[in-house]
Amino acid sequence: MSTVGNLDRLVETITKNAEEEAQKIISKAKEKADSIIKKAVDEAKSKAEAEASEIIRKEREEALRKKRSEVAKARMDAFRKVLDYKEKLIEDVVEEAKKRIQNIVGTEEYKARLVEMLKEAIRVLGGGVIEIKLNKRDLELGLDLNAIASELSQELKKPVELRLSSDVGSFVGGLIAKSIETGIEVDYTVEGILERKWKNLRVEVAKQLFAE
Amino acid sequence: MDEVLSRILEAEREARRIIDNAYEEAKRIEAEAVTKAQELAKKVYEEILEKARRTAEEEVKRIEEETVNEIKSIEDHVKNEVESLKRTASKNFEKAVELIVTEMLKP
Repeated sequence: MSTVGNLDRLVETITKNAEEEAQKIISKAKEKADSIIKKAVDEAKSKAEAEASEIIRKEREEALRKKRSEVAKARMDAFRKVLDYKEKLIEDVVEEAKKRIQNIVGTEEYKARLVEMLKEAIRVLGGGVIEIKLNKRDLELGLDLNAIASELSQELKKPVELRLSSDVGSFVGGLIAKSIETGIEVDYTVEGILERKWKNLRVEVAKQLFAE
Repeated sequence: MDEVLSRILEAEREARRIIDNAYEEAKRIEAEAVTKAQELAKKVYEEILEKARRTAEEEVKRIEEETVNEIKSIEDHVKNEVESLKRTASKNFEKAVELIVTEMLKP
């Protein structure tokens, strides 16, 4: 081969080598570029996914907390509503009972019960001089206080004297008896009896009223 | 001989130019990649968070609907219970009144 031919081949080889080297440099740069992009995307994805989970978790927890609170309040309101309604029904019964008492005043049945209350009060006070307070209506029932005193005096084997109080009671019915000697007072008014008995009676009334 | 040397030197210069250009191109590719990486990363980040916000919103809506239904169920139950109490109390009213009247007149 001639010198010119060899020289041409050498020049060609130098150029070809340079082009190959250039190609390698560019390929490497492209690989690095891909890697840079992949790394950045992966990092962003990873960071975003962590934040995304946190956003969903927080929103869900807040919504569930709100739900628990609102449902608990609804349950409490429901419970209170049922209790209030039961209370109202019991109140209606009490009001009706008071009306009935007003209505039976003046009947023989009431008068008999009032006499029994009075006798019980005398027994509790142990006889002696007892002042009796009645309401205006019951004062007109014409109770025979002397006969009652006499009967209880025999029963207790002690003197019994009954006096009507000059004060008129403002209660629905029943009486208040006070021993003049000891100052002890017995409250057998309808309201007083109801108040004393109410704690236990309320349970019984509720049982009766709401029995299936 | 000078001509030979001259051609070789010329070829070497050309080779150098080709490689230098390649390095320049590589630098440009990498710089472009950094910019593209930032843009893509931002896009991916925002897409994931946007999706998360939508998911969270749907989840909250679902829970709110559950809450409304549960409260409605409680209120319906109370309404029924009140109605039932009303019926029962109406049936037993007289006996309950009588119980109180009897006890009120008994010391």
